[in-house]
Amino acid sequence: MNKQDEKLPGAAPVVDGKKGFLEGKLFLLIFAVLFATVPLGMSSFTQHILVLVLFYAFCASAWNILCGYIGVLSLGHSALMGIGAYTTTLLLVHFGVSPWIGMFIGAFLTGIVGVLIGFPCFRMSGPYFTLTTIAFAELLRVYLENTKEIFGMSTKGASGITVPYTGDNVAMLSFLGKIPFYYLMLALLVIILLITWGIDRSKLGYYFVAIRSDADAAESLGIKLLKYKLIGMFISAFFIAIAGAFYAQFFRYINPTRIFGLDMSIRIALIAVVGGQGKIFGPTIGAVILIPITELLSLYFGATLPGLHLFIYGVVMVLVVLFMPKGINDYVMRLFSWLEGLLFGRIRKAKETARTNS
Amino acid sequence: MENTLLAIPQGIILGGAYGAIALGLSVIFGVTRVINFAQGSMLMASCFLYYVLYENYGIDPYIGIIAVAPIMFLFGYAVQKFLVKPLIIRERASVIEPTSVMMMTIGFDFALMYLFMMIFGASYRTIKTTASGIVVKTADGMFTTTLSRIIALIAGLVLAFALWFIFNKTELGTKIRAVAQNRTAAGLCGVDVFKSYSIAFGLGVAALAVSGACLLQFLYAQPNMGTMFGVKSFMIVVLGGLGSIPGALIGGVIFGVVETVGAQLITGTAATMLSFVLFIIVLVVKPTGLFGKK
Amino acid sequence: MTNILELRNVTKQFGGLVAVNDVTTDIEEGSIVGLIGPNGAGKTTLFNMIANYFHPTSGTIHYKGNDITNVKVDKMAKLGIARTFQVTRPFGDMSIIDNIMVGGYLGTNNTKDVRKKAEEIYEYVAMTCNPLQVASEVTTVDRKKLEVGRALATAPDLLLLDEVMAGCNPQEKLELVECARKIRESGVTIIIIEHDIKTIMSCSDKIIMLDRGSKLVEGLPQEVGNDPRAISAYLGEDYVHVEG
Repeated sequence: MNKQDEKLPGAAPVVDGKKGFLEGKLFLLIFAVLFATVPLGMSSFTQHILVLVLFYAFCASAWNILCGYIGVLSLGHSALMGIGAYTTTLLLVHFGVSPWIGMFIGAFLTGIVGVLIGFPCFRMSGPYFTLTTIAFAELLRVYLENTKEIFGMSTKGASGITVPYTGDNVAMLSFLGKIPFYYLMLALLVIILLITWGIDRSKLGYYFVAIRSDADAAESLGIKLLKYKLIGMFISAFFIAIAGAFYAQFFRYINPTRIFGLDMSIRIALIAVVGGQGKIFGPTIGAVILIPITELLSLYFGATLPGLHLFIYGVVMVLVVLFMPKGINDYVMRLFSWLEGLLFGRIRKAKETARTNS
Repeated sequence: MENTLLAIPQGIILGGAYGAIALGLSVIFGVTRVINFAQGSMLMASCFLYYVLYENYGIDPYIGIIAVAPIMFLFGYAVQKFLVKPLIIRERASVIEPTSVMMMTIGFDFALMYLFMMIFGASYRTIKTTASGIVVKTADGMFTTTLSRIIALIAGLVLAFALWFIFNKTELGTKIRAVAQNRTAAGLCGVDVFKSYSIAFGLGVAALAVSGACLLQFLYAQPNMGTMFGVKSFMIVVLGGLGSIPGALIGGVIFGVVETVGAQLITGTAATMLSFVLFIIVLVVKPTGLFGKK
Repeated sequence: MTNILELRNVTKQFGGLVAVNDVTTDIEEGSIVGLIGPNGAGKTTLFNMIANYFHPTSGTIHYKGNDITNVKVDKMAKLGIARTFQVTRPFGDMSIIDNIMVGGYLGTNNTKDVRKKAEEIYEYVAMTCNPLQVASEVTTVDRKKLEVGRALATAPDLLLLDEVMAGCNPQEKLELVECARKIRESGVTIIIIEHDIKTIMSCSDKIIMLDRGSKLVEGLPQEVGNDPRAISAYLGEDYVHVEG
């Protein structure tokens, strides 16, 4: 996960020996099995929450590729998600295009919009960047709330669009139960995690982190700041738009206030920050911890204490930023490596003594 | 056409209120370079304090300022001291997370907003005071407004002058400005940097409390009200120049006029969108705003 | 010998202040050039103009015969000009090796090669810290070496070292001088800004001395050391005695 944890053959005294396949991947395997089986036999409500966990993990991971790795704070990602959702839905409603295809059209379109927005935004730094992303998102929200149609396609303004139910139909990405959505979202999450992993270990990731750490020094090493920020923006926008398409199909209803609103952007950023920015599994860990807590709180206290779950979001955010600057991810990873040592330490030691003896 | 002309004074009055809210944000940023995303919620909190004072003790918000402004000053002071300061110190040690203060204030905004949601619920609370009942007209009766709105505009001007006076004519203000210009150098000269930050933060939040008293006269108190004002005041402050006191007022007036005149000429929505576009253009062309230095 | 860098009448004004005034000089390929002068003489300003961190008000800079006066800063590494910063700027949350790798990725995507090259450079600049240590936690001298190593990873032909020895003890300075010599042996031209006259005199092929923005003296270290103008402006009478 952390680059400094990687082993480096030859250059330095390597702390531990080469790990076996099982050793290195054990926790991944456990989680894969856990995630693959957990929704089975659960109530529809639990399944709903589980889908949301994966959905927000995916969104926060998409945000993380730009904001976590490059270190800019975008609060306009809801707008990008909204463009994806609206494109897919409008194509479906007006032209009968399957959401499978619409999803990718929307994603490419959003990627391009992201890059276009990026040109003015990335000229600015720190708070100015953040404020500009908010302004773009709010601009689009206000526009859509008050527009009845785009290019002749009805969007119904603030009242939003209901996505027609086309039966339990894989080809139209329309399902009766929650389980197919769950596995679809799981697959998407795995894909984005693999892509993040790939970025993390390649030139792109190194350049991203360099820009985050010290833009001037990065530039002196020949890194074109704008180019790499725009690449990050495209990837991030592409995937957040896919999340938008999923959102539309899953809830079968979209409106500008809910999907374009600042709340959605903040929620995504919050999950990623609490989990751990700029780390592969950070956003996923954030979602796994935050979403069930807040969903359950809003279920049980929604009537008596409205807003409790969002209050918890805020408090957790403040505490994490203050006391866990690297996010919860850091602690989870330490826990895993401790567990790993506990489980495999003895085997490794035995192997090492055998090696030195021979 | 006459309607359009009449919209201008309406816009100026509205803009004065906007500007007053933006002042607090601008003061805080000008000194500490921190964008306080909890701005809107702090305004909301002060409005609820006035509301409680009015409902329970019949105290008019204008008089309530005497109690609420000091409370909010201490609140801002404490937020800086206990939440912002540790992050600034950490960021100075390493530039790993230059966004952490922003993140913290966003979280704080959420926490504060929904804390009030839990206590007061989501309903809109209005109060009927003397000032809000008095209608002011021009002689020909063409232009009408309420006394409370005019007071809001005057309060904005007085507030701006008061802040300008504190920063430019007092010893404390000189120290704070020194810190704002060069933290390290001011620190070497024996100025307590973080105390200056805390005072600036406190002043910024207290200024909000004053404008809250004026707003509640003709608006409402509601936990989500901060979001709308928060986003607007960011835009106003950036337009006028982050850190500039007159910039905040003038930015507010520009916004107010664009909104009200735009609503007459085009539609209200188009006017709102226009103000966003205006904001983005200013940011791209002159990120320091109309009156910002450096 | 050919000139790798040619400065012609380079001038930089900040408002009314002339930071660098009409500097003309040539840098020979494969040499170590020391840039010295009192504080505020314009060394770092001149340096930043060569690195295109900002551009001259007037005058031209030619590198390998091409005009680079107004090239953008992110193109410099590709041209073969790398720099270090006066105040070290490591990528704080990356390991030493990863820091060097960022430089090594210039013009290639192959992570394996880049890592191998970074490991070689780590050995080459003779750092003492663990290569997997986080860069923000290492000692000053290792940070300095890291800056050099990271710049070297871009495979430069011209290396600009800004006060690379400041804050190091005599032993560490020797190490860095050794390192600079080694780099020069491999064919890289080096320009160093340095305050420690003795050290810089001992390792440079040429010294350029600036005073109040203008070039005061230029020549072999001994020549500059014995030049009365240099002595009165900066070196001081003591210097002559030390040198004997």
